[in-house]
Amino acid sequence: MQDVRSDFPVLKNNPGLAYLDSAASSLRPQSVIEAMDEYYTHYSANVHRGIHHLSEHATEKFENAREKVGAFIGSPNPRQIIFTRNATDSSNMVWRGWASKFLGKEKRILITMMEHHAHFVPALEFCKETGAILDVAPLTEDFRLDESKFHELLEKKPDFVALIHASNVLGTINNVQPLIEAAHRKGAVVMLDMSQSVPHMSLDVRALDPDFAFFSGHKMLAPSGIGVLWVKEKYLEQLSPVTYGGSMIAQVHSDEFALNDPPLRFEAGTPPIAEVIGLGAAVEYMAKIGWDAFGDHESEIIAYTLTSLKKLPYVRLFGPSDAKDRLGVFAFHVAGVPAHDVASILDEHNVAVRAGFHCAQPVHEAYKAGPSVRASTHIYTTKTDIDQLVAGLAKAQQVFK
Amino acid sequence: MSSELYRQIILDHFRAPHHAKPLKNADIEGTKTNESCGDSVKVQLRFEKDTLADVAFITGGCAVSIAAASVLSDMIVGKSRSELVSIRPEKLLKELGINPGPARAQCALLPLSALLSALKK
Repeated sequence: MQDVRSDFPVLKNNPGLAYLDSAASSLRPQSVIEAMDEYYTHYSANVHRGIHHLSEHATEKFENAREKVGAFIGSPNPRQIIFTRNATDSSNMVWRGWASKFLGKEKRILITMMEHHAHFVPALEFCKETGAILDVAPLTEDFRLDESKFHELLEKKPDFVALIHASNVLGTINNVQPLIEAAHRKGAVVMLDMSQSVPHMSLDVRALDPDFAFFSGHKMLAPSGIGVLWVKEKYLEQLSPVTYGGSMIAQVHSDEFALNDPPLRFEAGTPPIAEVIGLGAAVEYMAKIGWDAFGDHESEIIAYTLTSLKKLPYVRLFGPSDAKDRLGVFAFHVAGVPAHDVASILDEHNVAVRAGFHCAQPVHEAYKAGPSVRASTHIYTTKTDIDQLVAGLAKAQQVFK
Repeated sequence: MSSELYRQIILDHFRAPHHAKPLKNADIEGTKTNESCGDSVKVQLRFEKDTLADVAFITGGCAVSIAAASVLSDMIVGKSRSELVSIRPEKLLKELGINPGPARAQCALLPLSALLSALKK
């Protein structure tokens, strides 16, 4: 993947850097940066409102990005793609704009212990506010969702299920399609967090069949400040906007207004235009590499990282120990060295990782674990990066001996 | 093995932190946490009149915050309330002998921030 690495200017500008923090934010290829640059240098006008040709061009590029993103996840119609600020923003839009209308006191909500704070925190807040009942499906000893417990909790007939596709701590990929199908059979509406899965695998929302799904641009080679909420056609009319203002209206009078059609109904104010165009370019870049090449590279790196980390007796790895159904996300503890200190020492050796709870404290609590170190990979990760991580971990051990 | 941040003083205090045993007769308590890394510091203070007679820092977290709590505890016993509230972050970093970046400075200064918020109670 050496040829891929040359596409990422951050790698060129930071020689010797082992960037293993892609689950927090991935790097961006030159083509994404150029697409945003081109907008600012050639046609930086507002969208959906100008008659002049710059605005028309900007609108075309903007809507073209929506089509590309829609096609990328198998959306039947691009109007089901709503641009948001990030995954958390998308999730909150559903809690505020849909759940608040259809769920309330004595309604049941089911989530899992694996959820990112983007699901967990709005769910807790919503239940506190409305008196809805929250069930949390537990995890197994081998770092997977306890599916039998999940099915047991479905027997309580939850009205809403919020589920993570792949864990940003454990790396576990949940087999969500049958879970969503079972939840639907019990009458639940399902929201799927695809933040970690979209950047790493070919997905089709028609096959997975969630009712709401979301992800962030910045983990999938795209800029920060742009996220996506995908909504099944039948819920587009049920969902209410949570922000009111320009763009989202069809007409306004001094005493009333009429809503615009989806998706603009949910995109009040001037959107992040360059970021949307950048997201479109990122999707194009990933499609150019192709999922076969992508998957081959990732499987090889995941297997290599697992083998390398398992050789270190002082490393306690969280997450499935085999490469199957697993992302390149490796959270671990180093014996005798607090996570934050491991990350600092790795930084001194030019290895970028994250330390803490990674916006998923309940997962840590499920395993009675304190903050962890997390190394995460992407298309540009090499075995040399992993070797550098392993050497850095050995040094962290020596410093604290 | 040398390291910029992990000088001997940090490692020594981390391994055997001073004033780390909970007080039974504290007058004031306060807790601060750092969400991003999961560090948490609980401070307990016992005064005799206006003088800090004893202190405990119960710290869960990284070596930098544990060492900072330990060094700070040695600096503050015997000080008056007005002396305590005027302790400057630079002074603590100097005692620790480190010049951390903004992220790690948060760890190093968490015990001081716990102390100051407890004193406001």
